[in-house]
Amino acid sequence: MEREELRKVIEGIIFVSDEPVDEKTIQKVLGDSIDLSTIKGILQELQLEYSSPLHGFELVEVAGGYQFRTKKELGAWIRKLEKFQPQRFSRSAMEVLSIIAYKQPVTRAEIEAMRGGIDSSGVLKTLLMKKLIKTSGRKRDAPGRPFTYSTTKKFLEVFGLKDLSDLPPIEEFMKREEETEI
Amino acid sequence: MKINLPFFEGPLDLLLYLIKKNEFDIFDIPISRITQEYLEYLVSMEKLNMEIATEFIVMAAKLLQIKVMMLLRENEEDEEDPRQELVSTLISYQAFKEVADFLLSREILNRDVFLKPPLKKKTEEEEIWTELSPSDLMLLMKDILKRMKKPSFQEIEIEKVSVVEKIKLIIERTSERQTMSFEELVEGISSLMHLIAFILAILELMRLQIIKVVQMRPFGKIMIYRTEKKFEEEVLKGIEEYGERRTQESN
Repeated sequence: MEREELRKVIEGIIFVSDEPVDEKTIQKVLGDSIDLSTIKGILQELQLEYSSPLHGFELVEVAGGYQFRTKKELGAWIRKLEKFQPQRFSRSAMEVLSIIAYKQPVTRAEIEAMRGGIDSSGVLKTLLMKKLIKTSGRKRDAPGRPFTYSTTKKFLEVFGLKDLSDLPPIEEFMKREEETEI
Repeated sequence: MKINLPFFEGPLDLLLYLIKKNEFDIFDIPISRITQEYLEYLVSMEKLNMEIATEFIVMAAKLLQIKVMMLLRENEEDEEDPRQELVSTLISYQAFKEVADFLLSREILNRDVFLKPPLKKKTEEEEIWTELSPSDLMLLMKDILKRMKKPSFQEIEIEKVSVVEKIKLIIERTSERQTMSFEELVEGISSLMHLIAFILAILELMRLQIIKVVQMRPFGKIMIYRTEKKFEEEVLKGIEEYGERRTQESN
């Protein structure tokens, strides 16, 4: 297949997919004769192309794959469509989610201790319902073998992260104030 | 009088606010001053008839404890700083608050950026094959009752109708053909009792997941499908027991 044709096919595959598509899925469709580096190269080309101000959406690398998303500057218009339920987060939900993102797998008791003893069961339930977190097992050495929580692929998708290592190291958020002010 | 009290997510949030407001060094918190301000805040909450969550009280006790330990400390060089644990909790809490801000500053799906709505997962055909609930069966029963022949004269007789028998019949008839319609099954029955027994039998078999009941479209034909064939004997044994249990209960 010509490279141009390959590009069209890859573009089409990503367009029809509901979830981020990774290079391997594309290779499965195209066949083993097309190597991953060619696919990767084409994906980068497409990313560059859609980043042009002429397009309303762009190709974003997220949750281990590639996905077309509308550009941020279009948000105000798209929200007017009313068919999208806007994503909202409370402060407590964001606190708990942040702790889970960095400390996973983590138990409810550990989360609550880090928040100064605030009961977090309601927030955990909301986050579970939104599928941003999941129970990921049990802590065997703790009394009562409590459940542990981890973030999900949907968490990466919602916050536009490639994977968990895409999160900045926690130390970056721990700098003394004097240092950050300089 | 109107007092605006800032809202805090918890005791750590309040402490961080007090540290920032007073420009205290988080690594060298003047513990008696912060304890005083902390308690003042709780008092003003109380004055406003706001409920003070237990974690705020627990923290107040902890602050007082640290204060006492600071006073009792003899040699500042050798002993561990009583504030140490609180300071590290505060620092990590502050870090997570910043993580939260960082996450909220991202291009968030369905807030800032949007996707093409997902494709329909089910094909059209699959969608009309909805599984039925027991209440749908009841509606169908009403319909059949209406259509049942009304005898011109009636003779009252005590009839023995067995659910177990009906279960056996359904198992038998579905094992020959795998599938049959509900109408076929109840065709030619003579009384309401038989119909009730059939419905109880279907419900029991649904519960045991031996049959599946599906309907193509609203008010359409109800089809009974066999799901498990291999466990027939085991199931029949279970049904016998179920029958015995019922007889015992009615005795």
